[in-house]
Amino acid sequence: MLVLAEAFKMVVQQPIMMILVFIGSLIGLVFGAIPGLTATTGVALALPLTFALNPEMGMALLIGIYVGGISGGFIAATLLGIPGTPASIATCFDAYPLSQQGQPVKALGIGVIASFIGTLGSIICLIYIAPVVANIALKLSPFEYTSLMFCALTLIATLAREEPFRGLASGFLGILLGTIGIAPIGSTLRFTFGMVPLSAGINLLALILGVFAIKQICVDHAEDKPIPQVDLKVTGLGIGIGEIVDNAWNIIRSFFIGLWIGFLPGMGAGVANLIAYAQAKSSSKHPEKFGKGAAEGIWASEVSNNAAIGGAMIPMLSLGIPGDSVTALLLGGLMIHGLIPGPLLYIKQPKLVNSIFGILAIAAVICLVICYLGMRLFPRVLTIPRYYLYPVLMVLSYVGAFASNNYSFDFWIMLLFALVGLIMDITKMPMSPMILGFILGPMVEENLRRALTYSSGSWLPFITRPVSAVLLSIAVFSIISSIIKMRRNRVLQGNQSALA
Amino acid sequence: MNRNRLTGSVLALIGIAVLIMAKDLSAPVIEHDPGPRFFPSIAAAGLIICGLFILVQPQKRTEPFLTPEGWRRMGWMAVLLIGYTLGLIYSGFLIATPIALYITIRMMGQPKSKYLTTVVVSLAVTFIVYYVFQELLMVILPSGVW
Repeated sequence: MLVLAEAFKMVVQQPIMMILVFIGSLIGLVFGAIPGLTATTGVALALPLTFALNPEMGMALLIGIYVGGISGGFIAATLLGIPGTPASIATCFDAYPLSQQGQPVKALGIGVIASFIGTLGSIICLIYIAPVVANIALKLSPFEYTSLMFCALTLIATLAREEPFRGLASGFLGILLGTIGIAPIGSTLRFTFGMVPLSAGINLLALILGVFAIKQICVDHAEDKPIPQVDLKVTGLGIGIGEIVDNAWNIIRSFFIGLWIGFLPGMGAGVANLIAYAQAKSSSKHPEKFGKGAAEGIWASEVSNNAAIGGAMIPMLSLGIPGDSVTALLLGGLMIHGLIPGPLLYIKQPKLVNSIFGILAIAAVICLVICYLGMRLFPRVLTIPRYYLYPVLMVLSYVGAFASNNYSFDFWIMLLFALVGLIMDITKMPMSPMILGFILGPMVEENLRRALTYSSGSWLPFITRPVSAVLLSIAVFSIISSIIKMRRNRVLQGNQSALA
Repeated sequence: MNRNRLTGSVLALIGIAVLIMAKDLSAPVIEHDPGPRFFPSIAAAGLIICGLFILVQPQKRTEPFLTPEGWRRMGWMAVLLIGYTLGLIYSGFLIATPIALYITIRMMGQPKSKYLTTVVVSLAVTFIVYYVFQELLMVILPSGVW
């Protein structure tokens, strides 16, 4: 704790640093809360500004945006049912229903505390275990990566326990959607039908905005439901200590999932929240409440996505390898000033490394304070008449879909996925396995093909390498336990209906 | 045809279509690499199997997704979205957005939305979004082709 306290003190003593972290966090929260704008966009836009600043000041601004961007995603997810960023996709599943049941303050309260716990905990891990964890990462080969991703993919079975075949079909659809564009390794163009913008694959943001925002606007307008009664009374943080204690194990598990996923190159908060959510559902005593406003789901998603921040910073600082797209930009921010992250950074620039720890901690505190104060204001969004709110959301969704690639083609992708989302709602196909398949599918394929190339086509190393074998065993156990739990639930339901 | 049969058949057909298309993908260039057709083929096969299982599942009684009036409202929303998309592509953000906002607010808010308030809100939202994104955040917005 001494290192963190020292780092904290170092930044607090410099008012200019504090101002920069505050501005960065505020910008990040706005970017996170606006659907379509992500922490990556915010950091990318602010990167040129850091040319004029010294490395510490530059990092203060950029890290503030990063922490704010990941933390702010839950605001739109909770109030509007639209994930502000991919890091908050799973937050939508339960925070929005809870908000619609008239409890937006509780949902936001969980988001605020969970984000803070996730960020602060991951910073502590970053300080104390970064070198150890980084060494483990170096030993992972494509075999372990494939097994790990496969393990994560098996969570689809958990996400769709009520309708297993529909859930699996949704997952396979997601995997197929993820194969559109340039294939890994050989760069073959797949399923693009001659459309150049599809070469880079389907834009994740356009897909998310289609299935969550545009579809929801259309369905709510068609159903013409009355606006729910909203409880705007805020006492304390909107939740009690008992709520945190009840979710202690869920928080710890989600935290380590987020930390680990964030730390693996190429993954990050966007994957972490879905996996932690699926694990929370799998381990819950009341999985049937998930998707209907279960607090456990919000805790899992928001703790894990923020834990991924510290997780992604571990390989960036210790090895110079970015864990996700934002840390790749942060790495660029350091390299602009001639600093090369890696083991030598700790020896040559200890002051800078300490400053980064301090900045992260202060950004977490600033986000907590801003969100806490905002909790009195944010839920008022729900009292705006829908005929004003929804048209504005529609425009923001279009802006978000366009902003990432500047392709008008992405408008059509967004509309197409609004239609896909609608068809999936009508046919009772769950949405979350499709998103998980879409995000994880390309990673599984790339690592699997690389692994098979290394092993001259042999599948044996997957079970002879210890880490890979353990991960595959977990995957098999996860599938079997899902089947057993599903059967037990069916028997219970059968007994209950017989008694009735 | 009941909903399960329709869903299952469509999913299986998508899987079959992907399998056929995957056959035409190029062969692997690196030795021992399963190639670009391997992974989509596995996912397509999985989709076909799931589709067949859904197809034979007994149909539970379900409520209609929307009322006929709901479908009519959904239809108008679809027309509006397609119109707004074409408007953004051809006339740009500053022209298409206030028109789309005006029509959407009037359509969603009948009879509560007032003519003058709707005009003011449509113009104000357009210029605020334009200023914040294009000027402050330096995010490019569609400028149209004309």
